Amino acid sequence: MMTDIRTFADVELGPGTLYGAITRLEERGFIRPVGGAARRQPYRLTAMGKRYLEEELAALGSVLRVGLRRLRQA
Amino acid sequence: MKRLFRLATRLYPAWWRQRYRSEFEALLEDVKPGWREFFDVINGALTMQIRTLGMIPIVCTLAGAIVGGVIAFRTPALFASSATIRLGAGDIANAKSATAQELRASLDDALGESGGTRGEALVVTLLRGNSPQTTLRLTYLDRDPTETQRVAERLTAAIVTEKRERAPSAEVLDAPRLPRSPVEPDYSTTVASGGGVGLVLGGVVFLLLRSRRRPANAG
Repeated sequence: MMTDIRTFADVELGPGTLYGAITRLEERGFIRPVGGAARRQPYRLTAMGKRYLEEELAALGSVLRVGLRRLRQA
Repeated sequence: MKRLFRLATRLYPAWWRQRYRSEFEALLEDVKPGWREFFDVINGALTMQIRTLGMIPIVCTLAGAIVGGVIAFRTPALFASSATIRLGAGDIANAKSATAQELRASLDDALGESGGTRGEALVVTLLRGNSPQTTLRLTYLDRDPTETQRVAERLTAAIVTEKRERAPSAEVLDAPRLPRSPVEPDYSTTVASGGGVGLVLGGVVFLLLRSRRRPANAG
């Protein structure tokens, strides 16, 4: 997961930071553990998490579009 | 380094370790161990503790430490200067019976010389009471370090030099020195005590609030 985040976001997440985020996301019902691979625990987005992520990405997309448009006009 | 990581993992709250420890340790086995990762784990553990306890105990601890610090810094400093005097076998009976009264008179004289009335306390301790020799510890406490040493020297002289007939073989083992730091207040202890009281109060408030919330949560 840490390697994946580093690859797509160019952000170096430490183990403590990553599990702080996982704890919060699970508490808020955005992710849930899926049984499987021994001690290494994979997580899956819940329906609520998916909806929340879509909203957040849409908001980011909106900011991105407005920002790029205004940058071209500047 | 792996051992340090395991110790750092113990800093997480018990409920968190119960839920995530196994997978977290599996992740740590995959991580290239370094100081950056180690401090990240420590930071994560402290953050989780704060989330678990809430801010109340932390704020109360800080407030208690600040109050302790204010009290310590507002308390006037008190300095001590001591002399160690060895009394011979022939001195002991006389010294035990007469020392306190005579020293009190000498203290009045010493303070009278400087016109001061600042003397706070005079402590005379018999360190060893067995024959053939007794060691006497004389301590004078005052707000002014120079005055503290001067009066302690004057009192030491009162025993060793001026009262020769009472203590003919008295000998100064350790002369009074100029005190460099006060004996009171003890800043670190006062601040730590304030923090400790704050932590206890914060813990009580936290538990009270939690016990009041629990029935609602339990539904």
